Amino acid sequence: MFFHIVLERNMQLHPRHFGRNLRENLVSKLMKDVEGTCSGQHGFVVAITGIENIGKGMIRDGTGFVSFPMKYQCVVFRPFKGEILEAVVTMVNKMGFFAEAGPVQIFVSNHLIPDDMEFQTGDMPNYTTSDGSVKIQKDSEVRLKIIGTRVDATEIFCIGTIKDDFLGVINDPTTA
Amino acid sequence: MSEKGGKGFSLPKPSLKSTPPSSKDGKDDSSTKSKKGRRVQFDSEGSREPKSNFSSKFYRPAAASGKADWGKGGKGDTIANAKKKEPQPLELKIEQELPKSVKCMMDCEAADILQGIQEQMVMLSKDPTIKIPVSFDKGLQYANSTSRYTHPQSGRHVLETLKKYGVKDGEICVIANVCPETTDEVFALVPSLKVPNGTVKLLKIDFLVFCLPDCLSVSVFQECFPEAIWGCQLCLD
Amino acid sequence: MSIADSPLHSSSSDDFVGFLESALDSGSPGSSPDEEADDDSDIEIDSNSAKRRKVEFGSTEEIPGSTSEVFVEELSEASTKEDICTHPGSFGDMCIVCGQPVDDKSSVIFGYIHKGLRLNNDEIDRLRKTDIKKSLRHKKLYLVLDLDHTLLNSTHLNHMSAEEEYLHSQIDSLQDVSKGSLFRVDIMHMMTKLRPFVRTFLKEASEMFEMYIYTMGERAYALEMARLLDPRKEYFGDRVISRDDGTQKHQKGLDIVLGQDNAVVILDDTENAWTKHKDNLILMERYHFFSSSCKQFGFRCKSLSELRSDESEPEGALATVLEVLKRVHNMFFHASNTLCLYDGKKLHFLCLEDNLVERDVRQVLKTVKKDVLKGCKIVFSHEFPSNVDAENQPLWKMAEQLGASCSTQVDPSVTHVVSGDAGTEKSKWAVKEKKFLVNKQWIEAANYMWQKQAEEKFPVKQMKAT
Repeated sequence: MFFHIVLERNMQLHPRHFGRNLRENLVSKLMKDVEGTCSGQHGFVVAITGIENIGKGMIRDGTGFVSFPMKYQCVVFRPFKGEILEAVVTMVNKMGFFAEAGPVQIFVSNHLIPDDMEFQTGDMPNYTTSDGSVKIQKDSEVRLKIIGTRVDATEIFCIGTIKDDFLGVINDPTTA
Repeated sequence: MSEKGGKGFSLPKPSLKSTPPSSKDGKDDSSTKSKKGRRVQFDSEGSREPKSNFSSKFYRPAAASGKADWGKGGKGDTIANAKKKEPQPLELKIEQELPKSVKCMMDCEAADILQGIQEQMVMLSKDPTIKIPVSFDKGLQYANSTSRYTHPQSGRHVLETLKKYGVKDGEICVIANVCPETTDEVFALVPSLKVPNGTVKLLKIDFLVFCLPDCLSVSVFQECFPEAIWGCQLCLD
Repeated sequence: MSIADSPLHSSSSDDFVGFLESALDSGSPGSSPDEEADDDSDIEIDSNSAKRRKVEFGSTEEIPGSTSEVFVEELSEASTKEDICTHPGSFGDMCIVCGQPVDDKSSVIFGYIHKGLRLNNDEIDRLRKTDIKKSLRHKKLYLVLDLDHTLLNSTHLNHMSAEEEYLHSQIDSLQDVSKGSLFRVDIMHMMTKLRPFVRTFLKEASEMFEMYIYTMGERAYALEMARLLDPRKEYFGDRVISRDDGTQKHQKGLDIVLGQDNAVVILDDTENAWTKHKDNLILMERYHFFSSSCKQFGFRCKSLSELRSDESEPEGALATVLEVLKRVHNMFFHASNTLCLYDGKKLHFLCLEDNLVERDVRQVLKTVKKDVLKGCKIVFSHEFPSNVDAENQPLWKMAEQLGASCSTQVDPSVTHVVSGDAGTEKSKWAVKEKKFLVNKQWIEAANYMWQKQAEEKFPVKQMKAT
C-alpha cells in the first residue's frame, strides 16, 4: 500500500554548495540519498513530494560541513500482512511462483497455490487447472494476499498466497 | 492425475454459498457484465474505461468446493482437516504498524501524485545527476496498473463515509485497490471487517459493494444507508 | 496448517514393484546427500539479513490485538498438533507456508532459482517425488550438464596465442547466437567456442530429459554461457547452477537439483567433482579447442584452434554420448511396457508409474555399459606390476564395467590380449593363436565412446629392450 508520510533527516552539505542555490542543492541531495531506499518501518521511499521545512544549519566541528535538519513529505510503498495486492508473475517453477508488485518481490509457494492447479514444465512453465481454464505463467496478473513481509536495506520480500477465496489470476497474458 | 491431490483437506467455503453466480466457477462473466463489471465511476460523466481487465478467474470463489474432492485419496479425515484449514483470518493491522502521522493512500491517489512528479522530473531532467530510481518507475507502474478510478477524489469521498462506521483507513484503501464486487468478496479479502461488531459492519458493507462497481445504485444505497447518501450526492454532482 | 503431507505412494501394488525391481535388478535409490548441506557457506550470505530481520519483527510483531482472543478460540477448536507448520522452506527468512519469520540455517539454499530462497530436506524430497511422477509420465529423466570441456571451451582473451589471433576475425554475431559457435563475450573478456554438434545434442536431449547446467564457473559466466547455448530459454529455464550456488566447495552435488537421484544422468569431464554421484556420471572426453585450455591440462601439442581444426561433428563426443543417452532412455522406459502386458488394462497405467518410480537409471547406465565389451575375454600382459592384485587395478575394473571378463592366464577362450609390448610371451601367444593384440587405450577409448573400438587402431609396438 502507498502512504504519505513526513520524515526527517539531517543533510550534510559542503560550503561550496552554498549560495543562491542552497535550497535546491539540499533538495536534490536529499532526493539522491533517500529515493529508492528502504526502511523496515516505512518501506520503499518511492518519491519525495514536498519539503515541509529546512532548519538552521549547524557547522560540524572539524569538517566544515554544515548539517541541515530537513522535514520532507514522501510517498512510500509498503506491503502489510493481510493486505491484498495485485502482482505480475515474474517466474514460475516447481516450487511455486515469484511475482512483483511495484518494487516488492513476492513468493507464492506451491503449498499456497490451489490444489487443483498443477505445475507444467516446458519453455513456458505454468500452473494450470485440470480443465485448463485457469493458467498462471510469466506475466500473468494475480491477486494475492500477503501473509509475511520482511524489509532489508534495498529490498522487500513477501510471502503471498492465492489459496483463498477471491484470490488468483486476474489477467491471463495468453488471452489478453 | 492428482499430483497435488491427497493433501488431505478439502476447501471449506461455508460462508460463501450465497455468492451470486458471477463468482461461482470463476469463469462466468455474464453476471458481472450485467452489473457493468468493473466499471468504477463515481462521477456521472466519467467516460474512461476501467484499466483493469477483470475476468474473475479467482480461485473457486464459492460453490466449487464440492469439486475439490476429486483425487484426494490418502490422508482422509477431511472434516477434521477442513476445520483446521480454515485459518484465523489474517487481519490488516496497518494502523498499529505505522506512526500516527501516516496517511494511507489509494493506489489511484498515489498514481496521481507520482504521475505529477514524473512529469516534473522530465522537465527538470537537465540535471543529469538526478536519476529517476528504479523503484519510482516500478511504483508508478504499479500504481497505474491497479488504479481503477477515474476520479480518485470522489472515490475517496464515498469511501470516507465508511469511516463513520468504524472502517479503518487501511481497510478502505485495500477495498478501493482491489475493488470487490460483492459483500462476500469484501469479507473474504478484508476479514477484519467482520469483527468485532460484525453485524453492524456487514450491513454497511453491503452498500459499499453496491456503490463501488456500479456507479451507485442510488436508490438501493439510500434505502439501506441513509446517512451516507450525502457523500454520494456530492460526488455525483 | 501444515500441508506438507506427501501425496505419494497412495496407490501402489507392492507385488508388482517387487517383481519389476527384480526384473530390472534395480537398487534402491541411494540415501539422499542433502544432509551434507554446508553450513559455512550459508552464513556468509544470510547472517546480515537475519540480524536485520530480528530487529524489524521485534518492532512490528508485538501488537496487542483485540483479535487475539478470537485467534485462541479458533486454535482450540481445531485439532491441535497438525496445526503446527513444519516450515518446509523459507524466502527472505520467512516460512514459505505460514509467512512467519524462521531462522533455519540447516536448509539448502536455492539461490540459483531466486535470491533468499531455501528449502529443507523433506520439502526437497517432496518436490522430487511429485516431480518425478510427472516427468516419468512424460517419459523424461533429468540430465545435468557441465559447461567447460563438455559443451564448450572458453579462453580468456589475454591468454590467446599468436596463432589464435585469426579467430578474432571469425567470431559470430551476438545478435543471433542460435546459429554461431564462436563468440567473443567482451563483458567477461572471454572467447568461447561451442563444441561441435552441441545444438543438435541439446535439441534431441531436451526431448528425453529435463536439463540443468551445472558449472564450477561463476554465476555471471554460467548465465552468459546459458544464453549462448539456449538463446530462447527453451532448454534450461532457471535451472542454471554455478559455483556460487553449490553447497560444498570444489564439489558438485545433486542436493540442489530437483530431480531424484535415481533418475539423474550427469555429463561432466571431471569425475572428482562428483564424488558422491559417480554412478550417475557419464565421463566426457575433454574438449580442448583453445591453446590455453591445452596448456592448463599439460598438453604440449598444438590446440585445435592453432591447427585450424575442430572435433568431428558426426563422430565427436557429443554425438557419441547422445547415442548412449538414447539407449539409456530407451532401456529405462522400454522394459516397463513389456512387463505391463501381464496385467489387465485398468492396472496397466498404475503399475507403469509405480514401476518407473522404483527404477534406477544408474543401473541402466551400468547395464548399457556392460554391453560395450560383452563377450570379450581379456588377458593383460605386463600391464600391472607383479606385486599388486591385478583385479583391483583401474584398467581391469574398467574392462569389467564394460562387460569384458578378465583373466591373468591365457586359454582358448581368450579373445584379446592387452599389452604395451609386442615382445612379451602373451603377446606372442596372441599373434600365434590369432587373438587380438591391442594396447590399453583400446579399453580407455571404449570407455569414453561407449562402443567397442576397431582393434587395428590400437596396435602394439615391439619394445627395443626385449
